[in-house]
Amino acid sequence: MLIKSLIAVFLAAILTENYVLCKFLGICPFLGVSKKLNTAFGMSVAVTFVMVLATAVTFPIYTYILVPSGMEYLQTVLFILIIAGLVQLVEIILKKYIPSLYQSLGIYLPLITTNCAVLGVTMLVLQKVDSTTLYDYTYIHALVNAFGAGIGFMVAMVMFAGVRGRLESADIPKSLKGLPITLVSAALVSLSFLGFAGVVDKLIPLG
Amino acid sequence: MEKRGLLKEFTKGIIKENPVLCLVLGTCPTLAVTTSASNAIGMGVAATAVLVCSNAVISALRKFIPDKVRIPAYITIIAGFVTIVQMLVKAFAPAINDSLGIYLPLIVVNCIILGRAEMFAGKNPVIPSILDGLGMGVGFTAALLCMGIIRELLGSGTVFGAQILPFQILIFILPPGGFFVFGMLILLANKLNTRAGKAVKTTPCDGCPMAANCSQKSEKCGEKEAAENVD
Amino acid sequence: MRKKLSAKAILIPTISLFLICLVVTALLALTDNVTAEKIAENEENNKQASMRTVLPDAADFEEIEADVLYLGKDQSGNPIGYAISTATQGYGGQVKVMTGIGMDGKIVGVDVFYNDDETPGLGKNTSNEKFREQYKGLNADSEIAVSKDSADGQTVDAVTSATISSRAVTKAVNEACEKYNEYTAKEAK
Repeated sequence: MLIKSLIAVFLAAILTENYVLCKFLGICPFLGVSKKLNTAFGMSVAVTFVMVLATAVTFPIYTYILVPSGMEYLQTVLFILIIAGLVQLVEIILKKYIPSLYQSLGIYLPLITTNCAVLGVTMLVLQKVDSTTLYDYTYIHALVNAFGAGIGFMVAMVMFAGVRGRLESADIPKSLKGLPITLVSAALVSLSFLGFAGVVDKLIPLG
Repeated sequence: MEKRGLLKEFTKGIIKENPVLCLVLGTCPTLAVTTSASNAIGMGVAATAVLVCSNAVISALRKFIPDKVRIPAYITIIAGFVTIVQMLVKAFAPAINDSLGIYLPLIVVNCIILGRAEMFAGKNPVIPSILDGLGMGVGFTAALLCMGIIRELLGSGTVFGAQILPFQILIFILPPGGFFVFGMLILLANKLNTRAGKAVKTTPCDGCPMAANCSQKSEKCGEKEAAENVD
Repeated sequence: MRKKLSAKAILIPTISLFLICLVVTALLALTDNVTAEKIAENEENNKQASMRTVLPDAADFEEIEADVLYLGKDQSGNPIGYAISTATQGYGGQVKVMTGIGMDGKIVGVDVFYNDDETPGLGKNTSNEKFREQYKGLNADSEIAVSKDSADGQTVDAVTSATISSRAVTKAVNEACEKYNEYTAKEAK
């Protein structure tokens, strides 16, 4: 049951609840860094990493410190500061110990602090704890959800980088060039993701 | 002369430097909450309130905040105001809170607010900063309202809940419709700007508040910095 | 080549950041103090209004299980039904449903009092009367299904192109029925 629900959470985070294409979180990097396949991939790896790490820290802090002491109103301030701190920490550690990884991921890290997808993942998961009734939404589910959200971000980014690669060689009306055509193609990609609605419930029926 | 300068701080945000359509900032809420005109106004007003307050406080504290911890300090102040606005909305306009949902606390990471703090409020006195925030907020609200009206009219056939069209093209209030309408609006803004002989911005990186941090390394933003230096 | 950091260079930013955090936290605590009561009142009003919708004849509600199960009474104090609040996961987020069940075990009314995370024009239409009306008169002792999923037994028709939200509401109603059955079985003992 646990494994089954974990798979359901993971798939839902990638397909039906895709943070970029269905929930409109993290649009700035989606439009900004998706021009080339390798930068799109690098950015998404960094985002996934920070998402999992941030959830790992914020989830217990919220459930075991803020809720018992009745200070839920500090949620936003605390979460954003934790994310900002974590991003800095990761940057420093990478720079010092794994410089090769820092070379490839480091440039994306400062951008992640203001990526609303990261804050969105840490906040939305708390709502799920209350609204999931079929099974207990545990810490592990939250982590899997964060990982799935990151992978979902990656799927959207990589797919979109492919689409944009094709656009480069296409003959586009002059006034559509740049952002407008990017947004129109984003509309089409997002349209394709609408098709996933309900697919997870059908694949993995949970009672 | 002085008065004119102040007025300019206010009006530039509405048309010339419209944060959404020209600087392409704050795209997430622009796409997410504009499924109806009233949602758009709710979001616009909430963000404007935060923007004005945070601009005022940040510019008042600009000599006190050490440069090193500038960004965390800004984020804390902004997050504080966002939470205050969120609590006030919850208490006095619960319907708006329900319909904006997660996007209300997410004003924190709205690049417009941090962007204005970094680019304007951190360097200018209080009064111009407030006017700048107000102008940007009004510009943001106007762009959102524009999107909201178009999407609500085509998607549900209503405007502010009043039935206008006898049919509805559902896709416009779904996510793809958001991307599409936004693309069309930017196309329009670009057209108007090119006609007026102004340069067209093409990437969201141009207005990104963190661009300064990544500009040395990322090629795309690097080009932009080079262009800025020429200016 | 590293520059030595002086104590002052570390202390000043730390202290100023600390002060800012302190002031912000104090401000938030203050606002929370001022608004908490009003927010709680709003929620209470919402719940009351929702309970009135599902049990229109009730004059007063007695709390049996806080925020979940309420017993509705008429003017002379006779019990006329239960109002049960349940929540499930819909398409975009939480869906909260209030179900009214009469003393005879039949559903009297259903109110979807929170579905703001659902898609406007689709899932949000689950709060329309046309959809909610379908639950009226159904039996609480057997499962209700969306007609698309099952042809026999008690069914409701899903809102067009919003099967997931419709399922979520149906599931919430089923959960409410379960709660009702559990409670009445316990009472009968």
